[in-house]
Amino acid sequence: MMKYHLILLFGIVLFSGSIEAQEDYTLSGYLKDASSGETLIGANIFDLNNQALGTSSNAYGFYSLSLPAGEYQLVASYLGYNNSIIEVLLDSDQKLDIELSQGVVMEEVTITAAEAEKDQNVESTQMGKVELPVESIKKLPALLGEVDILKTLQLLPGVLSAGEGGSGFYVRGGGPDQNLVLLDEAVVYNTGHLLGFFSVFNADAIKNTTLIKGGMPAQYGGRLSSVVDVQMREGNNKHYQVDGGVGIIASRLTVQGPIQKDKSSFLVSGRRTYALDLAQPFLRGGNFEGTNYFFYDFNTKINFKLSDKDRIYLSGYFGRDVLNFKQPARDFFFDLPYGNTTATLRWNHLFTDRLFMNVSAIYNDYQFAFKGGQEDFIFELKSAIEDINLKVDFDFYPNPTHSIKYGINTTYHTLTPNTATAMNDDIDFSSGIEPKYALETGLYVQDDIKVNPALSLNVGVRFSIFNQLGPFTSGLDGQVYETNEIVQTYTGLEPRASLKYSLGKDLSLKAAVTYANQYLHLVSNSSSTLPTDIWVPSTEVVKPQTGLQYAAGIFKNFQDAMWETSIELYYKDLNNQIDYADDYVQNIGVDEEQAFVFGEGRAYGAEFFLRKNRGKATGWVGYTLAKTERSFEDIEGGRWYPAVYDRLNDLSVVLNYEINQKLELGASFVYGTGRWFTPYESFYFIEGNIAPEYGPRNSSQIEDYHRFDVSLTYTPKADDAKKFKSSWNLSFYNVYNRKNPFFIYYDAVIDREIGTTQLEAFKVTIFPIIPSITYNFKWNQKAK
Amino acid sequence: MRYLITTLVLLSLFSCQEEFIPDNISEEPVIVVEGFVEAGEGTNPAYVLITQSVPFLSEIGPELFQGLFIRDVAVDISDGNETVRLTELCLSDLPDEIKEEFANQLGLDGDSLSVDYCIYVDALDQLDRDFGKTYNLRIVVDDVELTAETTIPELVPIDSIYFTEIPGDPIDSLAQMWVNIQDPEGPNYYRYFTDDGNGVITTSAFGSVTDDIFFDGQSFDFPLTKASVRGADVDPATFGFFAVGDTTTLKWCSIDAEHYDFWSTYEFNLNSQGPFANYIRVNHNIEGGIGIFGGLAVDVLRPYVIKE
Repeated sequence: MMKYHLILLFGIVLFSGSIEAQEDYTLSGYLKDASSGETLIGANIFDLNNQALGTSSNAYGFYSLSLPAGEYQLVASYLGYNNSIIEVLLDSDQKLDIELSQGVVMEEVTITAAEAEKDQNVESTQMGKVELPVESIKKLPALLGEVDILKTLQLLPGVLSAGEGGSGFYVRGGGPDQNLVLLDEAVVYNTGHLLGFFSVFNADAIKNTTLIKGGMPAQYGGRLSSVVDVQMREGNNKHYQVDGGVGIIASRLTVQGPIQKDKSSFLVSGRRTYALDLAQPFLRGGNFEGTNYFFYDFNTKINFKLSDKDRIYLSGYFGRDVLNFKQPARDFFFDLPYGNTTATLRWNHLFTDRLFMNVSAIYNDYQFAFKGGQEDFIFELKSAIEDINLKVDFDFYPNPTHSIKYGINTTYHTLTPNTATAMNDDIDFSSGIEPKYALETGLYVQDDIKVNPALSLNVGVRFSIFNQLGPFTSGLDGQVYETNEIVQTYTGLEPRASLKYSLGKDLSLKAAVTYANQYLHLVSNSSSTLPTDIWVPSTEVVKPQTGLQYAAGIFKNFQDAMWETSIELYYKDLNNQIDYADDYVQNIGVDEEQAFVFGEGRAYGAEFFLRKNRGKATGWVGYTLAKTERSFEDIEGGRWYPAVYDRLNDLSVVLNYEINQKLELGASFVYGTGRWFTPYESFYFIEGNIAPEYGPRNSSQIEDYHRFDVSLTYTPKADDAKKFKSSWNLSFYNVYNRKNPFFIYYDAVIDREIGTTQLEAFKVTIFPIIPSITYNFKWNQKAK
Repeated sequence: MRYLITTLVLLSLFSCQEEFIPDNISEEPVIVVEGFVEAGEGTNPAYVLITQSVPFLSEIGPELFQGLFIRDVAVDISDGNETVRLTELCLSDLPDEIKEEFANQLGLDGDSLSVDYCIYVDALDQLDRDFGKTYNLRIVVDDVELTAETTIPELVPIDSIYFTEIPGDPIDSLAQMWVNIQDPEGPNYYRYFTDDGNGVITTSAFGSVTDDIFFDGQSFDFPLTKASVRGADVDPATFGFFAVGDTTTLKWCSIDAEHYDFWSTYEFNLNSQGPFANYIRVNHNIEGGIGIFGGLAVDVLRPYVIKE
């Protein structure tokens, strides 16, 4: 209790200047899905007659709304759910859990009247934030039928795909390592399976995805460009449920249900590919017998409601890509497993109706290994990044005009670079590269302030401290540091602020400025990220990246938020950017940071967004006009050149159309300016062989990219109340068979008869039109 | 490794390819130098080839290739004490019976004899070529001066050479070459050439240089791959192995760091293709042009191929 007072005091003292004393009562509780009991993240609750009086649920579905005593008609709303109007006589602090239902009208208090729609995108102070409930993602066409959260994010303005079919992404001119990707608060360092063609997130196990591409709140730290916060489902706490699907490359199965009804639940979910398993009979007896590739994901979560004030969540993820290559005739093999592990233990505690606390203990790692050899010679290469993370976060709702968050987060990083060993008979060799260690700590406080009905502010600051720790031997002066001895310390004060000014119920202007430090870096000199890319910490050589982003926008809704529109402008300055030197040759015996060069980046652009939220046809159009450049003193004397992910024009059109109750159409069209690449400029002869010479970096572009995908989902008994339901999804990727270049390669074409030689360039396309069919099923112990 | 993964992926996903015409890039020709100074028993006199680069989209036939040689220029190599001017020599200047031998020493295959190769050579072998010495190259082409420096390091010789059964399913007629060296402490760099089976002493398409990161200061056994023409079709079942019963040639060289850096970046550049390819520029050591001026401490062995 003493502790609670101290914490409360801390909050009050910090914000005492802006909090007015008044007699309020608090309504608090959880917003939940009516059928499963899953909490809803980012759901809104507000006064029907004064939308400025409202709040939204936090990452655990908790809300707290303090209002002066009186009678209220409160509306609870969430995208894809029916609104609920609750009549409340607020004459004391009250607890109220509210359940919202999808699709059909369930309860007397539920209305679908347009006047209750919340103009959330206009009202919120937050800029550049998009919530994507997984149900809306599942309706879109998918490559080979595999529903992919990250690929859906790429359809939003300001978010670019890393390459054809890939799940990697770039946000507003930021590098691939500048996105903070969280799964139940655990960092996911490599989000791709199969060289990034599929993301590690199995949609069946995912509840919600939030993308923040600008105006990053102070609660998030360590990355410059964006946050992708993915929350796993908690498990149905009302009845048992089984979901699954059979596709052409993979199958999925998810089981969830109550451990103790309404108090605790579990979820277990798995996915595995089998395309090459099916090919095994054809490989038997051939040159590559025993060669196989597959990936799998395993998610699990359990949660317990210990009391009205305490909840415990334990969740985990384990995923691996496994490639086994064998050439028996030459006794040659290699095995290449890699993947992520995460484990999150969380305790939610309510000190009062206005003060919510979450304590998390998190473990996550990304491991990459290669082991190959021939006869007695064995070569092994390993890299890894491992985090142990403790954090405490508070949500404090003193009154309707303030919503305060503060907390502390500390992470111990172990970064193992490419450590190579080779064995030949009984002789061992090692590259001798040692892991690096670091402790990263962040303290933050932020307040969402409703200054008046028109003006609201979100101000926050994050103070970050990064310590590189021993054991370590300095490459600069040879100094030896013992275990946990501080080698290098960096600190950063990272202010963030955003404001919203309403010009009416459905029109607002917003602006934001965000400063951030980044202490871990992923450096890649290929055109996309790879499982072999390694994360490196800030050290005496590598300085922290810093980023300053300005954004401004106008947000306007039409027809009671049926149509949302926005225009956002941004400008971003990036410092201490890292790249490889032009002449970098990967050498596993040398610390990679010796090959780094350091420079700066800038990005600016305009994003246009139009979304239709209701009706038989829903979807959006997003268009981005942008420029992203980089400059490094050691690369062509600091010439500003376009980043690989600079794309002048980027357009996405997404449509869902409910043809009838059984048949639903999904379609998407994407267009993007061609990717930059560094071309060969000339060639010469050395030792009688052709030797090409590169031109300036990123001075040529490949063809523009465009593609149209379409899907049809057929649900035979959509209105059936049976426990078992199924549907068929037919997807066509790249409907008009556009030959989008995946990469360019060069070859010397030699005509020995006439004695001529010429270098030619070829473009390789990997995804022609690809049809796929997926069978999905769902069994619910207690159907509607 | 990346190549293998990529290949597997592409095979499984029905890729297709088409010719791609990049933007027309106009590029002024650059002078290209390829010069070597060797020390050791039975090594060649110092020589330098001077050519020029051509734009990417050019089609090179014998006539255009012939036109790439830069003729009639002053080429000097100095060892710090003495400067030797090299003499220009073309294949057409040589009697037919020694043309082929000359071409083989330069690592040129038979097709190349249709081109009149011209080199600048220390014809009287005046340069004092020795381990541990540093050499400076100076070339003047019109108003352009090109310079370079290299060192012939101390030779780390082959300690032993032997042949074994090839890995995997044995083939009676083929053997794998192994060598042992006693690597001294500190950074050392190596390059090797072998007979390609047709009498041409050249390098392997797998790569020709290595450093000693993995075996610094140790006695080390490792396999060497038979030389092959870069870009030629290879049979994976026999690639890199030596024919039992032949007498082959191994030219083993110690080189300095800059020399290693050139070949390392050059070979990485050539072998780095594909969707995940690294972008890399070759580290030339020629001031005023591109190419390599390299010193080599050479150990030549002519073993008879017989399996242990």
